[in-house]
Amino acid sequence: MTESGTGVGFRGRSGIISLVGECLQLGPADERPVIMLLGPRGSGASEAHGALMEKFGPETPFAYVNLGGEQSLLPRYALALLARQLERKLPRYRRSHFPRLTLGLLASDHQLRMTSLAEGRRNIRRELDAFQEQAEARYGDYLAAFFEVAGGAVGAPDGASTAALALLRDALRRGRRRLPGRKFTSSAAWYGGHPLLRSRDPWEALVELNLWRHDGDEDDQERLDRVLFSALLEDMRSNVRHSFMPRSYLLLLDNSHTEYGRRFLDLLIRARHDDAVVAGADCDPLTVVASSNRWLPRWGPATGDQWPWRLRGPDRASLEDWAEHRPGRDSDDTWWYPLRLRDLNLDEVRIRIELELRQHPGLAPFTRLAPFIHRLTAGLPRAVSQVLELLRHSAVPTEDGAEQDRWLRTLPDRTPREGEDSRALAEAALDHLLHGFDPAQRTALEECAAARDLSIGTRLLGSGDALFGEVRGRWLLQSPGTVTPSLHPWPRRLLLWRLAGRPDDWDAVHELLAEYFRSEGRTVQEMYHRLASERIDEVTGYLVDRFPVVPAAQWISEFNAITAAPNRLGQGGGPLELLAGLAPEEPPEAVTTASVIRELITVRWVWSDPLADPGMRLNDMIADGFNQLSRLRRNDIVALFNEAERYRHWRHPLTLAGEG
Amino acid sequence: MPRLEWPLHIVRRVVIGVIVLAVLAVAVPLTVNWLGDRRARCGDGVVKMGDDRECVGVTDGSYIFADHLGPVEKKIKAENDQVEKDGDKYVSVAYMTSFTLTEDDSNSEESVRHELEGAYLAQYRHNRGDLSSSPKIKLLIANMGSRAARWEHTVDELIDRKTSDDKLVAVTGLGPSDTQNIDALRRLSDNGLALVASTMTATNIEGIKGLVRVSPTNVDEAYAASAYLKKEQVRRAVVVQDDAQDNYYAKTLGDAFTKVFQDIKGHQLVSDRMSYDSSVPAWRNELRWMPGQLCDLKPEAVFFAGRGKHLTRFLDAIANRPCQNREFMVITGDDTTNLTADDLAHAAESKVRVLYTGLAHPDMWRKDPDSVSPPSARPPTTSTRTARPSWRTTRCSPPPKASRWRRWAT
Repeated sequence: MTESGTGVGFRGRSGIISLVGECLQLGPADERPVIMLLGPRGSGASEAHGALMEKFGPETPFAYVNLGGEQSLLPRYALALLARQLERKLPRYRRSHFPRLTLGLLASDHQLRMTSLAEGRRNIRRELDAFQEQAEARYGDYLAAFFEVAGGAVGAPDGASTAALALLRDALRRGRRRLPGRKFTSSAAWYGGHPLLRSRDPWEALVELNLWRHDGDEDDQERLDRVLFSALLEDMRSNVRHSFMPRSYLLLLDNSHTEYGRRFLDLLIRARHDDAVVAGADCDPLTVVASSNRWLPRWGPATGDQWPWRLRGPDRASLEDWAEHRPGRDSDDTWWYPLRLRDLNLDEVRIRIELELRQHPGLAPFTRLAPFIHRLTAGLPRAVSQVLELLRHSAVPTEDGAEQDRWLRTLPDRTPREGEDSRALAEAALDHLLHGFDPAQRTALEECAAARDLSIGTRLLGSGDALFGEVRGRWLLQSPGTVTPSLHPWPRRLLLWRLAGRPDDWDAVHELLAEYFRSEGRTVQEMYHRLASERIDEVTGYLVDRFPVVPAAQWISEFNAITAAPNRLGQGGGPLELLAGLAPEEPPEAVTTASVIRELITVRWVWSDPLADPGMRLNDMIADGFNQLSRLRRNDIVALFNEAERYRHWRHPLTLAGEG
Repeated sequence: MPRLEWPLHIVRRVVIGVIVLAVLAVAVPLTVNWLGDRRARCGDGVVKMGDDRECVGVTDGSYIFADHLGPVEKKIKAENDQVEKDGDKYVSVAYMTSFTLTEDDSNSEESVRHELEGAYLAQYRHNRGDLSSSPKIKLLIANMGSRAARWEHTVDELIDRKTSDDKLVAVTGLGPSDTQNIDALRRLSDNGLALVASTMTATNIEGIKGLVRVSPTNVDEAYAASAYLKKEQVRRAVVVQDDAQDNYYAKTLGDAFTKVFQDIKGHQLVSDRMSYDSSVPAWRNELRWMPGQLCDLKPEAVFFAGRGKHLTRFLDAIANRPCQNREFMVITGDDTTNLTADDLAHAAESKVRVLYTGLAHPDMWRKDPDSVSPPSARPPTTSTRTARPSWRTTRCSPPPKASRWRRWAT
């Protein structure tokens, strides 16, 4: 829990806030997107819900429903929960009412006692009134009764601030007690005209709803849910036509990738499409923000080839962008607005740490570690939080130096001294990221993570496309835009850390991959894995051979790609100790190209691992290495000078591009 | 109908604010007026007026104008309540004069109390006593304030009572004879109220519709005084008169005596009138140098045409006259009856013989002729029920206290 979601947890997501603000300001009948926040677990979707709640909750009716709970949440329960929250009385507006939805829920709640439709028609009003009175006598109002069975789905989102929690509690608590004598049956007429119901008589239509629920098949159940969704949207349309009513309602759906979440979204999209496009009515005034850690099956294959949408970035999200890119109105895909939550950049990580200082002044010595944390986590919001949490609760040497480097070297195995979670960082982070993967899959993933291209890893290591598809469906691949479908750096680093604990498997996997690339003629990739296997001389030989024959720029590129290889170096020392362990058994007597390149390879290999060189203390050594190389080459040396200069005056890239 | 999107809580506050302002706009002036009225109010129909917050107006006895009036006002209140309780037809008669007296007033507390007591007795007799008849009478008490300065308010209040449940038909009392009282008479007359002046003797109060007087005029008093003096062989007299402009009593009394005393039989006024002006603060000084002149003029009698309270000052001055061996006889009008017993006792100490023409009811002459000085008696001229002037003398003892209805004070 944080003090202010908009201040800390939602750093770098301002585009989403402004987009939701735009939607809430639209006219009541204007069309609004169903905003999908997509990203892996820990990408900050729940924090986004908390931040939206905090930002708009005080002045806008909102409902938060977590569809990812362990408890199954039938659509009717989710509807009741959100209607109950939306009924919250706000100072700015009159109280909203949902009589059609409530009547629909009421009519389909208890099984009516009847022997014929006619008898049911005669008795239904009396029976519904009696049901209502019973529920009100017991719970205060009818919708409150749903908290008994589905209250767990309205718990606060992860990372919600105290302000957001207060708003949520307020929304749940301040349900209204209906004035005695006011019956929901007064809104029965609407059901008489609904196209999904056969009967034109309102009471017979309600009896039909009851029969669908208690005696109907799967299709009937679905029709019932569609009618209930339609009732909710009609109630909203009816509400916003009046003065002193909000223009829009905000619905926050967390974890909507679950079975019931997908069903809820399907029904919502369908009800909106049926009303706004098929029936030609006004669009409902619902602003939906749903989060999903998975690719939704209804969008087609996870490659996205068959879905008209291309994921949009949250920074430039706007209604204008939605209108520009949305498919035609005839398709119900027109309502989506998928936003891929990106990782935090270095500046955002730095600001986040500084904002955390307000609540946790003990973090002050670690503000310098922002580049390290960014390199380590690639800016995944939850990973940043976990590392900060660990630093806060551990005896980390606060002085910048070798001792701190040694401590950070084993950061993934560190456990917090206090706090609720006593697991090691790697374990806690992987458990969260890979929630739903069985142990065998996790082990397979540890091995597959050795390959930069996960698809090759899964194919070669026998896990097949299923594992790759699962990883891709969970948005665990590195953000779109990268050519190679590689794992997100944070889970990959942790998985490789785990694999490093299995030396034989480590070597075997890299040997396998090296052989594969050799057979494919992709020597750079081969050398990448050779280096991972600590076959430094082999790699040195390759790069020495390449040095005189390829342009310097190309050589540098290959050098960088190879030396980005993972390592399973010892965990006992800082960067210099690690380097010492990699020195040749017989130091060369003279400075040669081969000796310089070998040293450069080892230095940069260690440097590439943030856990091996957290403070990037090897920058100068790399710069010197390139300087020496430039002296050993007759021409095309500017690129080498430039590279030396780059390391000497190192500036961290804002976003991670595979380096460092 | 277009949607209103103003924030409801702001709209509510504005509406509530407007309503509150509207209520305040009505309530504040009403409250201020109410508080003002309450602050200015002494009782039903009686308000505070003037710098000294004098309580003036009309009451049915529920408000006590002065402590000494308390007993009689309570009786009047009880009688009025009884009239209403009985449910018989009734009309109201107001007794109006100055009930809140200061040193500036010619009447004394004792005299106005006697007047009110007399009025109560008359009411009692009419409602339940020997003269019982219908409709019954409610007696209202109307105070014009000291020197009748608030007569306008009181008169307006009386006029309002014409059409109220009080059904006011007549106003009585109405003294003394000064400008304010006469203006009040005219206003009441113009509004159709019957007026019965009890002790107004000024001769020039004429032409007021609906006004009757039950007392003789100053001319009558002058005749009586002149006749007495002539009977006593007094041939030389002098007139001392108050020249205050609004004192009609003094003016008409002096004029009348001047006219009737002098004759061809040798009765003469030995000097022009000796005057003082009671409306200016120096009137006491003016009276103080008169004894010297009187010693020089050697009149056998001094006719004092002024208020009773001035008479006591005049007598004080005479008591210190240069010619102590000369005795003076001072004769004056009926206002002397306004003097208290203490005043008269003090006058007696000056060893000056003082005579005055007191007012008496005709029945007094009929039932007890000895109590009236026959030489001065003269048939009534104003009405058959008009009181006659009769002699009262004082030398060593005060006159009997007047406590009956027919004993009027001016």
